[in-house]
Amino acid sequence: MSLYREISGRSLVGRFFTWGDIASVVLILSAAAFGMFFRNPSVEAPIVKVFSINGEEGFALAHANRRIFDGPLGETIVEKDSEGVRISKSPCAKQICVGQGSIKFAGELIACVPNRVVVTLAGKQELYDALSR
Amino acid sequence: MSVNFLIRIALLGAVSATLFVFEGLAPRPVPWMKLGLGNIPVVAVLFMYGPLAALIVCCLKLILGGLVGGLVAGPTFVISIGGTCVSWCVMSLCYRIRLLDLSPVGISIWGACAHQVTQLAIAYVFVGQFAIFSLFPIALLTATVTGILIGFLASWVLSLLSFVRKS
Repeated sequence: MSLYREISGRSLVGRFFTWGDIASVVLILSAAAFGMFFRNPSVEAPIVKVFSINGEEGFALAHANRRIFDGPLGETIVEKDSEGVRISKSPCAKQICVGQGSIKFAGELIACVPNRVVVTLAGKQELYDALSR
Repeated sequence: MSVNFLIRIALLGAVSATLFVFEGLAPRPVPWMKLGLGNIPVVAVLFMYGPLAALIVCCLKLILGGLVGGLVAGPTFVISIGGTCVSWCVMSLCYRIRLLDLSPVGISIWGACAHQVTQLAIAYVFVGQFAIFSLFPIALLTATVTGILIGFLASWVLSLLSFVRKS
């Protein structure tokens, strides 16, 4: 209650944020940037990895034409399109995974939590191996 | 606990649940990003009546919003419950400890981040793949943006309420 009264007396800028807020934003954005640095989604990845209730399956993006993965709710369809790979059909209610569209860079991920299917692109290591051969 | 207090909490809980359901039905430009409009009354109540009242509003939002939105007993609902509980804990701690002298904007940002990180942790439990934590930076970025917006709206609501109370 004290702060509720306190903020009503401040100026417009002081009423809406404090130095503590700015420090919080800087701290959180630094953590996000740190995570981005490790994620490094800059290399186009040729290997698709799909995790489902039946385990992990990896295949080349070039061969990801249309694959069906089973989950607790039904079948999730993973397809290749002009941009990369995407979940084209899912039995989940909210369809967030379908709405997310395509991924094409290493480290990018589409997760359908209700049907327990995760599609990710892992290409850095394989690309390096291909170059070194 | 006065009748006046109960009525206000019930009203704000209903507003929170309504916003929660409305947001679930409204189309989203970015499908995995949610503003969390239902948290505006939660942040406002935290500053008006303290953490316990905010918890009551959180519970009302989850129960009413979950029932009306048809989310009860699915993974989405478990993620909602977990995220809401942890974000309430973090916001209450920030409010009580006052380490950084946070305004509603700062508290909302920490609450949004806690919510997003908990969501990822619960999603990890469901899918069992550590790869899901690669969404961590994006989750923090979106939480910062939505936290700032919700915090500003909560500050605006608080200033309106104080204006009404003074007159």
